Amino acid sequence: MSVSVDIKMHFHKFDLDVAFEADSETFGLLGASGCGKSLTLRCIAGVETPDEGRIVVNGVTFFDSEQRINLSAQKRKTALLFQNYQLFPTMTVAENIACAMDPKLPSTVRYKRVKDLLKLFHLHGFGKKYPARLSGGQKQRVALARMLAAEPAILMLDEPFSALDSHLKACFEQELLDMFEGYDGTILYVSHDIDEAYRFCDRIAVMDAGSITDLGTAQRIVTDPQSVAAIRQSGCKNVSPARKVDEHTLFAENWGITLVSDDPVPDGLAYVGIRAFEIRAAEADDDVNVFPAIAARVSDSRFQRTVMLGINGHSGGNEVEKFVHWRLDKLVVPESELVERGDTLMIKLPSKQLHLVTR
Amino acid sequence: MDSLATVISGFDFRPLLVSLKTAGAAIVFVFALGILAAWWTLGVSERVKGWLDSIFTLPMVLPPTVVGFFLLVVFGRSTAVGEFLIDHGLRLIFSWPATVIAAAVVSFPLMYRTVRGAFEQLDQDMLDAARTLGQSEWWIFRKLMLPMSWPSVAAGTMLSFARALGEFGATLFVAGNFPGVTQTMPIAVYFAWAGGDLTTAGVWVAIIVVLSFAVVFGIDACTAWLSRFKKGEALG
Repeated sequence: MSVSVDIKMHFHKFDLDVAFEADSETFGLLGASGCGKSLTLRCIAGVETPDEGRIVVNGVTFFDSEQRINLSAQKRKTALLFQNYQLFPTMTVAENIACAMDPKLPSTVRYKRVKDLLKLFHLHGFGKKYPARLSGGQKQRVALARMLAAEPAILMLDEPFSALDSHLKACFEQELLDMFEGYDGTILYVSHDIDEAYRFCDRIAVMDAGSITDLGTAQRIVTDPQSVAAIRQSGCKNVSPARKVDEHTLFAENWGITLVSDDPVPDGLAYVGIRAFEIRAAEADDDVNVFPAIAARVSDSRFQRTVMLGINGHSGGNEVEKFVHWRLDKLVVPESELVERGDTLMIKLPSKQLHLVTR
Repeated sequence: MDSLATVISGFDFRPLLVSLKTAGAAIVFVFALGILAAWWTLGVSERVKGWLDSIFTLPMVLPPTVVGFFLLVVFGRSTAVGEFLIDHGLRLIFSWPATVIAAAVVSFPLMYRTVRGAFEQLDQDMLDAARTLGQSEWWIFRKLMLPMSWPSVAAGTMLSFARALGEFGATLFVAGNFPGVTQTMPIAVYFAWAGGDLTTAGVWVAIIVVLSFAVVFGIDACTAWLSRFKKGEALG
């Protein structure tokens, strides 16, 4: 049970150049839209052909440019789960599921399997309905049932929750997690949402402009991102180009400040990142990494207040990247102590919380 | 009223039958070939597609007399191909089958283009999804592409039928004007008028206008009815 991918493909926006191996695990491809993560799945499924490289799934060579092997999408039968599920509107739910099965199976066996799958996905009674009559969540379950009916050598899901409302998403995530638990092959999971990827995936590959820039356990990607794309994709709001000054100091260009880092600054430092909730209010300015700031903008969500800080005299304009985002937990900080718009204060960017990357 | 009765009682209605027979036979070929051509051109490379598309559309933009000329070249005695066909018993020129060929060639592009347009509108991801489920191209064509394109297929069929009914130039070139055999309604109008028989010409004009209107009206009704499932989708 394994997948090995090493492909290159010229594309109009970027060059896809992806290499990874996955065992019996849930392997995530995380990245912004248009970074090539869906394209990678499409190459594995055989509906897109790379220019060169190799794709091997469970010992079967799907594609090998040197040996001139390129199995058709039909032969690969990966049953890729598309973002919008792509149920066939001209067929009933039962027909949608049955059409994925091996046509050599006797119809009685197929009929029974359709029934079992409908039951497994809480769809009994929906077999004769057409997809247009289903809700978003039901469509997703039909798509999952159809994927399992095909008995693919690998499960590939392309943003399975992007078409669902957020309250539905929470319900169905649990069901999908249970399904993944009981599956012992490789699962490739494409997402742009770090929280979703974190819950589903054992390992995550962060993609940016067609390449994997960081690859590791979900935990490691969040605590110690190794590329600027990983910093951003792991939800870090504050990212700035940076250059090394000496062994433990660096200059953050967007914010115009010199920072001290506990970690040694690598040669060829390119970016620095710090999470919005790691920033602290400071009492005095004699500590390291403490700067005067002005709360240029303030916005509230239910449990958080986000403050856009202008540091070192930067106080306005539309250059959002020059602000430092600071997130305050409204459940912890009393209302009287929350920062208001226009407040001036001292803030601290803790020296042990800086993420330093060279790419 | 008496004069109308006399006109009708002595009227030769055979051109109506010839026209309906011709258009009816032509549409059978055009329906099948138009859909297959539309499907086929989707699968070829961009460059070949450009060429095929131009060739398949040409009969629509060429003057019918030019189409007629080409058909005469292919089926007449003046070329080797024509000689060969005639020697093997296919004497088509100035026979009823010639009206069918002329009508089919001229109306084919309407079917082809309408159906291809519908095929191109289909969500490619859906067709890809079927491929990754192991379904053959033929299955995808039968089970997905055709059913989802029925409104356009129906519209294309009726447009082609109307065009076949109205075919004049190419037909006159290759089939001539033999009453009861190759004389279609448009040809009857022309020869009645040319012969000074304005009453006959007028009756044919009236019949053609009513028939054409019915066809166009039918297209709209048919398309609306066949598109019902799309509305259901919007509601769902």
